[in-house]
Amino acid sequence: MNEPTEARLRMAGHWLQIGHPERTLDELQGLSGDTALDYRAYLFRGAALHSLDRNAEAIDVLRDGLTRHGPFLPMLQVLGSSLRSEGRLPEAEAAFLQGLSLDPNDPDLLIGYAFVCLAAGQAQKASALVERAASHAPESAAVSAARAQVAFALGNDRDMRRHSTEALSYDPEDPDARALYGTASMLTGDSRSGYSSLASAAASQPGDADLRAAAREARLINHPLLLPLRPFARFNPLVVWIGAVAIIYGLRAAGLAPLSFAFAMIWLAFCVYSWVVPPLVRRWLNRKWGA
Amino acid sequence: MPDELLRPTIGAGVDMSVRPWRLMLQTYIAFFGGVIASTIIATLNARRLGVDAAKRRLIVLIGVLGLAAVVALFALLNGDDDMTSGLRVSTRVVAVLCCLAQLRLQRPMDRAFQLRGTDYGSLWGPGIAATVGGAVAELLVLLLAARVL
Repeated sequence: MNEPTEARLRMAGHWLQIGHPERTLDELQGLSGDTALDYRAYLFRGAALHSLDRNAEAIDVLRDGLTRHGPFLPMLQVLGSSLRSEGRLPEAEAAFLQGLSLDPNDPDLLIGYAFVCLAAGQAQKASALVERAASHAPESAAVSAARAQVAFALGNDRDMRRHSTEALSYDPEDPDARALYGTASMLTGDSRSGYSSLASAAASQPGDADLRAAAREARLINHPLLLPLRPFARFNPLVVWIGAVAIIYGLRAAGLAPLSFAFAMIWLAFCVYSWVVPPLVRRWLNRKWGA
Repeated sequence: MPDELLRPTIGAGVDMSVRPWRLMLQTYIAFFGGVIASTIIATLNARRLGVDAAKRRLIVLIGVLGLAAVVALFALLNGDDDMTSGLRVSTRVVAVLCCLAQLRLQRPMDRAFQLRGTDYGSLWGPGIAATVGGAVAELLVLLLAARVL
């Protein structure tokens, strides 16, 4: 392989690594002849397309690459992730299991497979897979981030916060870790640090619409007009509801019907407020942000 | 020895274009529409989330038991003027309690859905329709119960 072609491939890999998948594709566009069929060209193109959420194209490219070059772990890894993103979970499982049949202890493949299990609602199995990955790569941000996602799937919001704090401690600038920490903070009622984490994650990944929406939602919850709704974020909304119904019923049972009626009216007004104000503030914030 | 953890366990894919509804909104439907309304929405949502058939049947069973409890409360409290408002509140309590149990069954798959990173659907149209329809259906059931009892 001649020197400029090799440099081009290396450049494509570099762009991918620093989060510019569209430049990776531009770089790969310039390859021709045999070099366009190099295993790295398939891998980088597939990974770039997956990063850009063009998963159907990524799957075609990676399947071509695997047919041409045989089973290759990083390619199977990206193929599995792309299939998962498309919702083709049994095929994603098959891709990861094919990789794991070659190396049963590869932490990246174990975690990738765990994410497929999470998407299928098999959180216990995902947890076991992540713990196996942890036994081979104990001190890794990927393991902590995966543990945080497993905790989320199992409904253990406090564990999610602990593991996402760990993930953040490995790399405080990592947008994915920040996004996880932000989500965990929101779930555990700390909407202020939730917003700052989600906002900084969104700022460093301007192309990620989901992250931008999450940051916007966090911003909404922190808005002064939504302060009265804070109990819903702090406690389980169902607990707040049951509390309100218990008070209304309790006052009536105690013979304090007028007081019960007054409380019920206040509660009704509060409910109407909780439905009407958030969409209005959301619309206002979106207009202000030019969305 | 075969590795149990590395055996395929995923039977079906998920349709990424299907949009379930936010779980918490179901409590409003339970409160205003009653147990029939919340069961309809919970069953539809469970199907959208990909909750397995056994749990979906359990959601319906909870709804049926809730409705039976509402009819029983009606039989106990109806006719007494002082207790009519008690009946109103207690049927709502039953509906919200049933809804809590139904939410619990949907929650693991709801979290899985959130991890897939797609958006929720809007519950405004189906929610209002289920609330009004469920409330009317519950009233009809109670009127029927009043004639039978």
